[in-house]
Amino acid sequence: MPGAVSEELRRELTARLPALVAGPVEVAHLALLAGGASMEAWAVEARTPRGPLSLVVRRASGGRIYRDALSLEHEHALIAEAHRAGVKVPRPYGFLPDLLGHDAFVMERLHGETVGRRIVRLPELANARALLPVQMAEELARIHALNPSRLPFLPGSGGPSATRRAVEGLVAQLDSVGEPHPAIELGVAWLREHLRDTGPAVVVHGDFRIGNFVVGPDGLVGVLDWEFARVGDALEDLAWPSVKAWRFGIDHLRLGGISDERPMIERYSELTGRAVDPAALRAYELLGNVRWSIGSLQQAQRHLRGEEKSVELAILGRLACEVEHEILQLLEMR
Amino acid sequence: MPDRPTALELLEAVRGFLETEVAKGAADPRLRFRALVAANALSIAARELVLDQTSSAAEARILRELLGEAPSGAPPAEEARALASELCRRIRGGQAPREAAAAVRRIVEGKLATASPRYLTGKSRGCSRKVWTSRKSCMRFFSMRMVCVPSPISTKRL
Repeated sequence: MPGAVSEELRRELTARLPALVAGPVEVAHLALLAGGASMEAWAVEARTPRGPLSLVVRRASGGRIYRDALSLEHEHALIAEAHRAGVKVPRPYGFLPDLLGHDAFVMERLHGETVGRRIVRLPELANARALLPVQMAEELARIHALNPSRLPFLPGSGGPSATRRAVEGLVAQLDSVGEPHPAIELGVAWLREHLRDTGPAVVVHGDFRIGNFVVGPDGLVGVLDWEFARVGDALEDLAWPSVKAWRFGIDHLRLGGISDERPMIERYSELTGRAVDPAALRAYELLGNVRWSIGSLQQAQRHLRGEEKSVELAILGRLACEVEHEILQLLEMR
Repeated sequence: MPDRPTALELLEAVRGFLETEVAKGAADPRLRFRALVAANALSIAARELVLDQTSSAAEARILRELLGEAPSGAPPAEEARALASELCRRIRGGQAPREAAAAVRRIVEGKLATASPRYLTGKSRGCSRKVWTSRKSCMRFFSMRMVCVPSPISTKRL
């Protein structure tokens, strides 16, 4: 199937890319990087008079999109806004509302390591790991400074409290799963009572963690996967990479399996003038674990409901109990 | 009675095939990863077969004690689900029993014994999975976590 699609896609991209990159383009190589029932990512090696160009085409593939994710059009608009603001993101080239019948957008392909398990382990990335915490703070400071009024499509704007919205949104998602999970309920109950906004709501990336970065020898090359961006509390992004599931098995290094959290938090405070209370950070780490436990159950539901058949999604339903265990650990430490 | 290999032995055979032939031979790292995920899924299924209804029965008993309910007579999985739903309702309504967190922890540890025993033991991935599909070690591990494994436990081959 990819063979026939890729030939058609190559012809279509040959016709459409010149308008996006402002010049003639020859598609030299096209390969499927990742393909699910709802989304595809294609790597395009193109030749232009100005030299070779590496691109990624993200394209919807017809299945049901995640309900809480941005559309490709909005994701592209957000990446464009972040790019203008100097955030390390792939350069966006344009949104295509109809690429062989589906939404798509084209962006630069950044080169580097993207697999979290390798980023935290590869000996040749030791220097990158030393640089990453401060670089993460710098990117978060830029992202949180984005003007939400220029991004009116982001969910979460308006209303009194970003935190309340976040928690009640998770409750609705948990209810949609339709299974009893007392450990998650205990987490939700604590959050409802104790979680507070720590400052004015900002644009948050929503999935800011080691597994969504492109990392090279000098550290962070780019931040990917913007589809869960929203308006929320800055601590949601600051705590998310410390969620245990995102430490890729190197649990004693709390910040994503690469470092202590302190260098990131200190640099972030320095850049933004915002003090970060460690107790509040732990509370948002609990929120992150509650979010991921429900996320795991929802991914399994996608398989069970036939929206996207995949053993990778299916097994998350059984591994959610790891996250439940972490929720109980964090509750016990209060 | 079905002939050998038993269901458990068949799962073990396919798991071995996925790990050694598919994963090791795969040039595509994505395929390799998915083959290992699939092998892990079969390990979970095997442990669930070994534990049979033990896990649900223990969960139901913990929840009955916590909520002060009498046995409903329903099959263990059904009873555990109904009691867990009731506990969720009480937590949501701000009426969580005092010992809820401790009871829920035992239940979650029971689920981990089937789904991810290495998460609790802290052993790294890549150590032998075989141990977890032997009935004896599976039961020993399970009773360690759940405290109250009801007896008698059948020892016949699955």
